[in-house]
Amino acid sequence: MSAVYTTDEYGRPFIIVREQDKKARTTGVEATKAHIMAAKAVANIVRTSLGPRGLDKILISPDGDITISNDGATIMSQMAIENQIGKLLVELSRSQDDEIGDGTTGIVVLAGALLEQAEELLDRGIHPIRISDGFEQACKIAVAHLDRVSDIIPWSKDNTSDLFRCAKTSLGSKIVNKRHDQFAQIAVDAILAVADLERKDVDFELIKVEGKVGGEMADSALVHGVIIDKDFSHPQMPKEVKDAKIAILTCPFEPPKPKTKHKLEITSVKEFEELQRYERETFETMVKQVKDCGANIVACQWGFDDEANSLLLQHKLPAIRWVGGPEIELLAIATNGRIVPRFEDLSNEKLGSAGCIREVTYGTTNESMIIVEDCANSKAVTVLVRGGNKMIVDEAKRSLHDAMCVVRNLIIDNRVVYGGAAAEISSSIAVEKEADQVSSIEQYAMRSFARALDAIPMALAENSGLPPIETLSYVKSQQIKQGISSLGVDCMNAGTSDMKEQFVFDPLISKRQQFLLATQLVKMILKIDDVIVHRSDEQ
Amino acid sequence: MSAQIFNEGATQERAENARLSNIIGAIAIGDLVKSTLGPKGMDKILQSTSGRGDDGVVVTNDGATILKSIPLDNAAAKVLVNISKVQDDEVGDGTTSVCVLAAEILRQAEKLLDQRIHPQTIIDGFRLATASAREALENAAVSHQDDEKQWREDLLSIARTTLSSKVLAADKHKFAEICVDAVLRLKGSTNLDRIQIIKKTGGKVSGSYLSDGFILAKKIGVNQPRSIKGARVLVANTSMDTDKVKVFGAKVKVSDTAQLAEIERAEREKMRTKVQKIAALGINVFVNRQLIYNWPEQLFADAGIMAIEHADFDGVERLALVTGGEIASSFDTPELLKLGACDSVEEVIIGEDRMVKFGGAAAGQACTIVLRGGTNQMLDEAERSIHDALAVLSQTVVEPRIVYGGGCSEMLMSRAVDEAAKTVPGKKSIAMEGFALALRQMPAILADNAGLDSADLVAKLRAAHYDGKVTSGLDLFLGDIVDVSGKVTESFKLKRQVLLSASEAAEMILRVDDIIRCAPRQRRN
Repeated sequence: MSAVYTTDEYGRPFIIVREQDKKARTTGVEATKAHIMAAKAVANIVRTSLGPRGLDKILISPDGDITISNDGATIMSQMAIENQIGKLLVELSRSQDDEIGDGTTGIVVLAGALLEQAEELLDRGIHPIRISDGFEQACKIAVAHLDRVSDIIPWSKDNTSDLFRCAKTSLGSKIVNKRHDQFAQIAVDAILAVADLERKDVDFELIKVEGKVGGEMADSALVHGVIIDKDFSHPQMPKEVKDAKIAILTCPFEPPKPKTKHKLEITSVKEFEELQRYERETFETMVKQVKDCGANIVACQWGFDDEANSLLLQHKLPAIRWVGGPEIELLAIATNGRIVPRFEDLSNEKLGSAGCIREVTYGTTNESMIIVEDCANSKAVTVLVRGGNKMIVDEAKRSLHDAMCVVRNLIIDNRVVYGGAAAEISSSIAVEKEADQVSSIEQYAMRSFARALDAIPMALAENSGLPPIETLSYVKSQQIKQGISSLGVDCMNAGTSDMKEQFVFDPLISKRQQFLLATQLVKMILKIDDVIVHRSDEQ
Repeated sequence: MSAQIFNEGATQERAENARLSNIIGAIAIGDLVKSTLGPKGMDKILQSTSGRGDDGVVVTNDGATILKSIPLDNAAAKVLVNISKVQDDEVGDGTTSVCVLAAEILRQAEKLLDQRIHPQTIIDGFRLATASAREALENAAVSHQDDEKQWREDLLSIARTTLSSKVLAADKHKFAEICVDAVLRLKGSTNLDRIQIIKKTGGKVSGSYLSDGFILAKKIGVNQPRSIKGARVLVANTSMDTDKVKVFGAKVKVSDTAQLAEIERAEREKMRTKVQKIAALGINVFVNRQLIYNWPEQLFADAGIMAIEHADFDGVERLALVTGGEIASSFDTPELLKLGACDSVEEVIIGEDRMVKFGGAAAGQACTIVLRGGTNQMLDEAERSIHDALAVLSQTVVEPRIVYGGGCSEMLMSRAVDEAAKTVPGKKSIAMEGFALALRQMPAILADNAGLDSADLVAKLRAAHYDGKVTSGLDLFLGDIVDVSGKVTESFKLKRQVLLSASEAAEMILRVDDIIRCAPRQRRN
């Protein structure tokens, strides 16, 4: 590698970059090409996961733990990518995940395809900045086109069939498509239960997804209430409480612990005895306060002293201890109770209420969970996911999250575009058409953008075992001939390529975000022309 | 040219390679455990690398135990180990079957992949097959819970089936009785912690018994009565050493020894009042989870109360269940305390250890099985076998339907899948036939393990099923096809879970086309 140095006016060399030998540097087109190469390699890995017939990946962590997933964001983040550009792509799929929640595979494939096209343009000697400008223009056209071809799907609390279909599209590529309808329904019901329809907002904090291995996927269910992965504090407490009035406490059933630093010194027998009495009385008052406010069950964030536990049992107050922070909040929301930080503050109106609280035991290992049902406030729900092994439960949880995100997106904005890559193909046609009217070099870049969009239907067709080029050209020609923008790749061999008939929808904002984010990232990568890697950590 | 995108040391396997490595890994696991299947299955010795001499050796027939102990480096193999563990947690037995079935399904899938069938198409076929197999199984399942005599006979039969593949096979009738009695005492609970298993080396395996009372492996305090009739028991969880002041930050500070002595006296006084309070409850047996120091022990002895210290969490809970008492930690409100009761409490000697036996308990929802045997390995394996049987039985009490074993259910499902395959157009039906074949491998393995001609027997069995004799199964002792109804019984829940778990796992493994292994974490020595 050429050393980076220059000479002063007397011809003596001086070094610009310090510790030259410890650094690796690539510049110019060489750097850009290396980046493109890396990005393509990453995109190729997730490419086969795309679509309803896409396959999964096994990821083995440094500690040997296994994740099996079809979710782009999960695959990307667990791959432990070292390459800088690879890391940018990981970030890309993560931001799609955070923002939209679905389409994390598609976005990486699109970015990879764009870069692949850029490489060809670079070979022709087009300047990277001109390429990115062209991409930018093309992206604008594509996004505007998406808006045009989007359809509004009507839905209401009673008519959720279209939401259901969208959730199905999202779940189609995942292993849970074994119970396709069931999981889609769970996703729709869960979101609608907590959605604030007036503000068009969905608080994901209110939906808890619990996984429990054992049984089969069909046993998964939506519980209109809260599930707490704990058991009652005393083995002899009743396992079921009807018409529960629940006291939600964040103070321990233990002797008071002043927060200020203090010292209590016992200097005489009298003090010693007094302290004993005080201790006993504290416990009794605590239990009495709880009992007096009318509660018949206690949930506490902290632990119980043995004596307090026994007293609770004697006073017929079933109690749950060590309930986690988020869970106790959820419990409070669900039961319309207030979280009470001190025993003195307990009063009847601060209690939460629920129709039924019961402990359920699973399997042979005596594991149990507490299910709180028929809550005063139906806004908090829990999805209990079951499955034959740990990996499947984890994957089902991830898939469900994706599907719920899709439904949420539709509640925020109910415009959809058609799946099966119909939206990509029709955008590609639109971009190509516009490109012909551009008089500058950007025209080339715009055509390349259109070709990059075609990579998505190609990947879909390939993963479904269809001839990719043939399928793409057929669908494209049909779209132009018939002027229907909802024609796409018929992955499931349903006999029609009209996605409107197959009910394959994607939220508009998800697709738009994919285009925008991918273009943005590609522009960023194209702009880099110099990489200096510091290798100081090598021995 | 390819770009380095992973860490050094990371590897990636793609497409065919990934599939091959997964399927081979899974089949290897299946082959590893398949020789333990069935009443004529063999055991395995597991020797841990760290264990020295006798301690590291485990002899077992239990699939979950075997798989748990093997360090594996294959992703698909780990999935199989996980399903076997889930099977163990969920039903307790069938841990080998689930692995073997999953491996056999994948073996068939490999052939299908060789025919260039898309993995997703194979999966579609397998799903249809699983559904029709499940339906056939559900139709075949019967429940005799209403008929008490028949019900008990079913449970005994299930226990015998489970035990027959284990080390206890020789005494399976005896142990089946023990297990069924123990589980029926739980009255529908699946909490197996309530059944205590005490292992003592020495004697014969057939010398094991289900104790009519509850045995606590603890000692009675010195100078206290060794035997009490008409016991009133208090089960407690309270500190009987030095009753500390619990208020945070409290500290004793005295200026001279006289004061110190006084404080000490006060402490003793406090303990004495506590003992008096306990004694005032009118009890004659006191069992505490925590330690009892000499001083209170002596006080108890003076009051003629039998005091047992340091009975751990499980012991206290079981005892509370047996005697019907409450686990108490405060003694100020005697009217709210529920005491336990039993006819007699006495010290017994098992082997050469002294233990406490609670006889004729009031509630009696817990019990004790005393296992005897020649060696530690023998006892450990016996305990695992008993645990498996208990687990299956307790699950059967909850889900009372039963199906027939000896390859009968598998053949039934295989036939249903085959019939269903005929009506399915397209490549899926080939996958379904493969699934049916995998199911038929189960009786074949049973026969192979027994040293019989599996091809001949399985064909005969299949013919019998097509002939309408749907309760036909293999008798591995006679080496022939017999009617297994009432003879070889298995829990429906077990069989269903095996089918579902195995096909879910196979599906999961089949869907994979890429394995990315991160660089292993560097360990510092």
